[in-house]
Amino acid sequence: MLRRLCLRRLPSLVLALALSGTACAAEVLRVLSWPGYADADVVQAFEARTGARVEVTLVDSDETLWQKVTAHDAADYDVFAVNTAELQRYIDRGLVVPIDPAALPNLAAQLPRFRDPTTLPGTTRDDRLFAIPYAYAEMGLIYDRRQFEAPPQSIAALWDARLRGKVLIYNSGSHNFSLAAQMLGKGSPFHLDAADWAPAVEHLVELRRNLLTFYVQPEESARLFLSRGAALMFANYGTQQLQLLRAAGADVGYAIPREGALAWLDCWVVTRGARNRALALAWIDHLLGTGPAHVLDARHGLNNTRDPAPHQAETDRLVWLEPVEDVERRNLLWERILSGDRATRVLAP
Amino acid sequence: MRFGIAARLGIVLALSGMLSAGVTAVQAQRASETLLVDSARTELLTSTRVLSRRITQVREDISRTLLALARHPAALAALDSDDPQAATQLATLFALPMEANRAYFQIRLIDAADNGLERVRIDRDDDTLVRVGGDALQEKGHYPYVFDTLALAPGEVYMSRVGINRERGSHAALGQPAVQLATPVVDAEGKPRGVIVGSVDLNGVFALLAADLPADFRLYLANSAGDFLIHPDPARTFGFDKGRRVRLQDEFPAVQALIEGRAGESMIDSDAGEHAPTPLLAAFIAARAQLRTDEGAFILGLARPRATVLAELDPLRDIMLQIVIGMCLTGILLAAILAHAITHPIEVLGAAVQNFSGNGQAPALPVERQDEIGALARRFAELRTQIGQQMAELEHRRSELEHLARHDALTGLPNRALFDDRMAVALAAARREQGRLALLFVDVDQFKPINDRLGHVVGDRVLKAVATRIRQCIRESDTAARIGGDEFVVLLPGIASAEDARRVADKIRAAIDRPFTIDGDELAVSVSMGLAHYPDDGADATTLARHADTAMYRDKAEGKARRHA
Repeated sequence: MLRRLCLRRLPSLVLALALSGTACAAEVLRVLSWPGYADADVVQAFEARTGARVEVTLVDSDETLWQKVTAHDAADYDVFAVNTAELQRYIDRGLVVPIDPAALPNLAAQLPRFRDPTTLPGTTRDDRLFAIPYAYAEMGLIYDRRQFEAPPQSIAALWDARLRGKVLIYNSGSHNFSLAAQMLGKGSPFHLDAADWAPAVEHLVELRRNLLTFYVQPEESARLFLSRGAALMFANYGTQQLQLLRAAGADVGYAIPREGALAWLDCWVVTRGARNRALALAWIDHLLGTGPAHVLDARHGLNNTRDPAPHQAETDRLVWLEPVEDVERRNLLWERILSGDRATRVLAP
Repeated sequence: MRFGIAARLGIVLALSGMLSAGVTAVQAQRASETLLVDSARTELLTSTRVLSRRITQVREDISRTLLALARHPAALAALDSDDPQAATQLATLFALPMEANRAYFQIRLIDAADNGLERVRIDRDDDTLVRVGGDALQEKGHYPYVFDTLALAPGEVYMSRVGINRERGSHAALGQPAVQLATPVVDAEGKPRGVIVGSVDLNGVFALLAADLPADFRLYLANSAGDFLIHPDPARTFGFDKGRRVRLQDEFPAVQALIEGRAGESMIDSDAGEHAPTPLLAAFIAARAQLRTDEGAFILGLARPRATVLAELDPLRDIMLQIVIGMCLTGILLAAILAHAITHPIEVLGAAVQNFSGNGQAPALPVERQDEIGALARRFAELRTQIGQQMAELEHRRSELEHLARHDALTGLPNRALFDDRMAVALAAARREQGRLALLFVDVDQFKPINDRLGHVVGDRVLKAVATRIRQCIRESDTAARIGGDEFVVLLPGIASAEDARRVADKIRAAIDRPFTIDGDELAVSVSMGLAHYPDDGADATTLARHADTAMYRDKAEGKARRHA
């Protein structure tokens, strides 16, 4: 009886051993990603090439990302994607490690503006490279071609009294004060000095008076633009809004103002807790390849770092988002402005 | 066996009673549940419709108020001249509906000019109304409730999307779910000059409307995209305001048709997902406001936990349980009664059969019953009567035969066999009591010539007449018997002396010596007699008989001699 039992169990035992053998052999890469950055086909191609297994965890907000990475001091994930503004606090906490560009052959195929770290201040710290640019979107101006003889050149068009009641902007304290800073000609729109607040508020109250209204969601912006006959819109969601409007039949154009379009840049970074940094770098290099890059723009409408963006010129200026000097103050003052307070009252303590 | 039938019958009846009661109870329970759930659904749908109608009424009330304010001359005056008196008058007018109806957060007059500057504004601040003035008045021209309302014709009303009020300085309304209703103020030329805006507290309106709903009712309100505006869990409302979507169709997938406009009403049994532990019955309707708005349809719904609906069945279930128990007990009782009713007559019949042959008292049969038992009893009684009659006849015949066997057929006197018995009994008694008895032989003289001369018929009549006369001469306790053709014998027990016997013999002789009248002819008959006495002449029957016989022949010889002499 005992003998028979053992014999019968033998094959399954062998199978289990074999399975555990391959499991040990296969490296696991733990990826924390935004939707669209690690689609199943992209992951499968990487697994086929390296023999590693990829575990993808999706996040949909900056806060969730921060919680997951900080939960066990970045020990739960090997690699994740984060924008340059958010990245700074991860570097501050030492949650991410520097990257050796030599390990990434595909870097050579990136557009010039992404190859020069000095133009991407958020990606380096103390001359060390921490982040590899992957996807980005700029916040250009969308305009109604029928109401413009030539594309708007500057963000000053938002203040143009001839467009009064025909301007749409995004409901965001940070971005709108950055716009005001650009109007003030500040070197960095993310750093307002004490003396800059009053003129910035004046600018934004004037902007408000020029508005049709403000929006939050891209669909809402397209609906308002079309139904209320708007002429100009600050496109927080960039070309996504352009596509929505064109799909709805609007004759709209897209312009990057000469002051530079605010732009967010998502980068891949390697965590301090990465088990196999070489595998993590292989993943990043894989995503810089042509296949994943095309998935980004063709499937998700985001710009990749290899191909020139369709609505941009090489010389267009992009202003990569950075943490602002005082996000609470910007939001508080913007809320007062939005509520209809006049400038003196906005600046009241 | 007798107990067996009753017990088995009782068990079968009781079990079938219990079974039928149980099945009835279960079926009744199921039917009640279905009925109750159906009616709860209908009730939910009706309540939702009523609620929707009342919301419409509230909105129409507010619209009428705003229209009345917009038409009031003070509204245009306050816009025209920035006239403080007109503004104060309007502020007083604004306060009236706000005092009457706590659902108003604000009522404002907003200028079409000056970037939509507020001209008159009353805010609710906790329990008081605040008139906002001076530089606290804000520019609102970039809000849809201003620019969209200015595009309306006089008398039309605008409704904003429902959202969290983020307008700073709005007192009680700040951070609260609110909706703006507005209508334009037009001048004599029909040009829009401003708007009257009423800001309405969404939760306040619904708290008021839902106040009379039963406690277990849950209220849901969603916008046309399904975003919750009202939910029993307030944390799930206005998810879009916090950068995430919490939607009705995710909690109740069946309302998808309503969201997509393919249906106007929907009744739902929600027992999956998060409602699996406590299934809900729900009714949703899509309500579209008939005015200028970007909001589209609202989805309004009410739900109840299925369990609280079914809790209404608890008293019924208790009653049914009592009925079932009652029916079971009644069944057992009935079974016992029925078993007794059937087995008792069988017992009676059984007893009757048992006592049939015996001489005991036959029990009364239930012949008066009109059922099968009665018929059986009647047949049995008939049978019993018949058998009784036959038995009586048999007895009669038997005693006749017995008589014939021990008596002489001609004279009716005991025959020799019976006489011998009585002789033996009398002898035994005499021996025991040391008494006396006498045996008397009587022989008819010259009988053969009578027979030969007059015939047997006459001879027989002579013998019968002799027997009768002998019998007339003896006591009740004496026995006369015929022991041969013309021979008789008489047993005289318990006599005191031989003389007594002699007297009886003389009496008999004298009786027979009287002539007999046969067919009108006189006939003289004589007898010869011989006496034997116990104990004088013998101690046993044979000796006594011989002695009597000898005496009789002697008498016969003497008698012949006498006659010849």
